[in-house]
Amino acid sequence: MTRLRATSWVVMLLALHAAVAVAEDVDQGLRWLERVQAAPMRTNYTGVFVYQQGQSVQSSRITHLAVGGSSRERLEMLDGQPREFIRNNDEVRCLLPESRTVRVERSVQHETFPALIQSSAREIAEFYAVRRTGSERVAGRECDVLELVPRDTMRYGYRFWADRATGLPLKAQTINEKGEIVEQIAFSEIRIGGGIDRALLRSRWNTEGWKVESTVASSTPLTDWRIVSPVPGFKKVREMRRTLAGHPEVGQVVFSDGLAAVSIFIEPLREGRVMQEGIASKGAINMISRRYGDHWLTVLGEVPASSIQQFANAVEFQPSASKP
Amino acid sequence: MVAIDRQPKPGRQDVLSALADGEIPDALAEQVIDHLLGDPVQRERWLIYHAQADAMRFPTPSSLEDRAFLDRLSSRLASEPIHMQAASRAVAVRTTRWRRVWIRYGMPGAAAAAAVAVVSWMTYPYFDDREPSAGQLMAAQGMSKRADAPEMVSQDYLLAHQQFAPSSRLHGVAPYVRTASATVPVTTAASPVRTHP
Repeated sequence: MTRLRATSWVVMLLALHAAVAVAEDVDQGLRWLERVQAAPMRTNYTGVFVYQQGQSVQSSRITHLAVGGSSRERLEMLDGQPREFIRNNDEVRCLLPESRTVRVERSVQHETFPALIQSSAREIAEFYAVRRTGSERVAGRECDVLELVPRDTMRYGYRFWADRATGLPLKAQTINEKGEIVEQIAFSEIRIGGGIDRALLRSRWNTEGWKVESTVASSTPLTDWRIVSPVPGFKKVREMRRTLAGHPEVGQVVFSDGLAAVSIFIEPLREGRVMQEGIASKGAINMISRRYGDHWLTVLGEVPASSIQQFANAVEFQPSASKP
Repeated sequence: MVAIDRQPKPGRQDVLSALADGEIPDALAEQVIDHLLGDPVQRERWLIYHAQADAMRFPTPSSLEDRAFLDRLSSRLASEPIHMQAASRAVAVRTTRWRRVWIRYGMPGAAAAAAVAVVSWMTYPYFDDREPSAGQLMAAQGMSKRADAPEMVSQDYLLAHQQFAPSSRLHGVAPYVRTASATVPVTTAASPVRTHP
């Protein structure tokens, strides 16, 4: 009798341990993910990375430093057009030397959309299986390989190589429904931590005399339009009226599942404006442009083309009854 | 519009070469392309012609030398819905005109992008940097350009998208690298859909 009870205790304990072990694996995966997501903002680093998609290869230098109380960053394209993106907290300046233009964009953080607050790793885990699959060396540093396998074919999968010491992603791949790599970003050299020269944050351009375009956006709902997210997990995170490349009154609605995002732009047809209907694909980005009555829709995001198509089809024009 | 004999006398292969080399005037080119795209066999020849021509002039992505890829491309075009075929046709017309400009102005090669441009679902005309010379080339084709606000190109939408994407909030400016292109522009407008309210 005693032995039986002992056995059943052992069995119960083993079952409990197994259950706890499985739960820990999921939690472990989520902790890895949270660490990878938080690292770029927490870490000071400078390095050169290579971005590949299709036949295109692009090298860039990126530097991130916490200076005083500010988070500052600079991305400098080293191949082709020498564009720069310079961030100072919420403000990003895009320097486009080919057209001597500076685009100033402010991504306001204190919006009222709760979904904009970082999607918890747990919410992401609902749509992606998160697991650590090994370790590899990237840019001279030991990394843990983290895989995010989508639970459906409506979104891409990801693989991150996270620096063991800091969690900073040193290499990342976006993987499509066929298991093919649609884009990859990988550091070829990196320096993390202290002693990074602040001069790396300074632009090489003197932008005096350049055209400055500021995005003016107001978070007003687009009352005449209704878009119900057609892809599970994608929630509306932004809705606004904004200027876009100097054109006023462009509506933008952004959906996201925490990892990927889709933007839907709605604007009135403009007289004499040259428009091209079409579908396009570049790396992880798919894009559709089409006419919708008196308006023009542009839908793009880092999701498979079929999902972009679904978002485009989900846009409905519902003019309010009382109009002046 | 000049009517074209639907059975071109010199032989179809010659028409294809003439078309691809920009030797057929625009007015005829559209009708010829219409005819070509309506015929699966000719469509395939059109694709193969471009792949071969570009292999001689420009470096070619291996996919265009892949027979299986071309087969899939052909059957994919055949099964496209009507509105997509119209887009294919529009792109083919643009490709022809652009090719003439290329030859005339000696633009650098675009890595067989011209052949790829026939494939409508793979190419959107503006998915590239807005080159300062684009304005000159458009003027060369007789297009009028509005003096005030410049045309919005896909780069603008992509920048605007990146601005509010969670990846930017998490990863700062690194995802903006998607907005760059190291490839030479494919085409710019030649006969787009002109809309009026």
